[in-house]
Amino acid sequence: MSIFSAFRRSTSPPNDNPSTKDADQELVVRCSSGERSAQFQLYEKYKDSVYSIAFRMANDSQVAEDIVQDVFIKVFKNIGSFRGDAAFSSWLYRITSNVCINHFRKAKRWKALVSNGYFETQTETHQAPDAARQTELAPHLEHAIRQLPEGYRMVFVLHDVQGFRHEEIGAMLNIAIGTSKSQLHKARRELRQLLSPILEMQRALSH
Amino acid sequence: MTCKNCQKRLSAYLDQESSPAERSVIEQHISECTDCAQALRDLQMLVDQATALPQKHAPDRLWGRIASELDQPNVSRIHDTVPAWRNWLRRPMPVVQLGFAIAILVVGMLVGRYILPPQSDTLRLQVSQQSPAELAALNVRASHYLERSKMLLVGIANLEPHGDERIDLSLEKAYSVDLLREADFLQEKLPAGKNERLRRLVAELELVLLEIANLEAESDFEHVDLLKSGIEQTDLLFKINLSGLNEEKPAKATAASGRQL
Repeated sequence: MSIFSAFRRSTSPPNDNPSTKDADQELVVRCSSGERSAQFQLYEKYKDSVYSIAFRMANDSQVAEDIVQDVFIKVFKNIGSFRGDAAFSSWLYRITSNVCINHFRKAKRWKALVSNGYFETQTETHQAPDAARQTELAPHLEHAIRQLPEGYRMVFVLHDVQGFRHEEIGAMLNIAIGTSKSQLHKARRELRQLLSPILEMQRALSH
Repeated sequence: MTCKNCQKRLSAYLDQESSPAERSVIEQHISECTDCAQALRDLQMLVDQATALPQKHAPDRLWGRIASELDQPNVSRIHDTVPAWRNWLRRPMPVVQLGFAIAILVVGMLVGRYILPPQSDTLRLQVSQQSPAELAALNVRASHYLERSKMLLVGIANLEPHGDERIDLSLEKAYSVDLLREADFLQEKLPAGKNERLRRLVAELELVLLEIANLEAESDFEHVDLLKSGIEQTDLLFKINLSGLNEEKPAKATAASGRQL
């Protein structure tokens, strides 16, 4: 087997099969009439993936919770306007990315007003992985993802972590597919750069 | 192909986005360059690790927060409570509608000029029918109206809502409705010409009172702030005070003349 044939990646977007769509559609109809149990079922189904995106984007669990809350409030209050042309999950994740982006805009404005305090405290809560986990890549990767510029981070999290296709990301973020691809490639290069000491350490240990 | 060019293209190669020609050039380069081969392995490892990152779990308490917010009644937007006549005035008027409005105005003027009997005589007759005692009573009633309106406006101007705090304005609404009835009466009875400034003030106040009466019983910061800025911009409190001073002058003059006698 050639070295190159090992580099294959299977991309299966979350919740993209017809049965999931039908089940979602049924729940959406029930949610439109304000049925609380249907809202809860939809929330239960998607809460972790929405929270994962929000957490990795926001750098803070409290902010991530606020984002998740905003997302589901928006979803349930506007579910009547969901036409059902696309999958419910696409609509949900589009709202998620919009809420995240709005949060960054507000945070930037706030940061411009408050030059110290809140934001510095937030970044302090995310220390690099402790000594016992120095050689594990995953915690370093989580840490490095948070160092990426927002645009790169969003596409990387959606594509490589959450498994969305570029077509879906383009629709969510309202950007061209080519832009999504180029942001992803830049994000990966940047991550490799950020993680190069860890990668070298791993190589040295494996020899 | 240089190493820099190759490493720039590795991520796309990994995702099988490269053209067949580009693939073969990259594969050729990698087979001869250990650094670029290592870079490819690093990228593959990064992507594999990213895909395997665990899903984060939303805290259990979150649903409670969402459900309680969903239970709250909808907060209507500020433009929903702005009186309809204001929205109508804000709307751009298309040329056809404008032309139609001018035509109606011209027809109305012609009808008034040539068909209806002259109204000025009728008005003069009505004015002349009001006795001095009736006129004095009307003036007292108007000054009470202004004083009550002033109290209401000062009360609203002094409201200091904070953030999401909602304010119960049901009393102010009821008071405004009462004052609006009084404004109707005064506008009908106050004689034209002599009390023109007072009539204008009553009409101006009527618009603000209408806005207060149309507020929701519980209003938020935005509603109150809009109202406060409206009161400030129209200088209504200043005009009411000025009107009060004008009334005092003749009263003082009468008292002074009485002492002379």
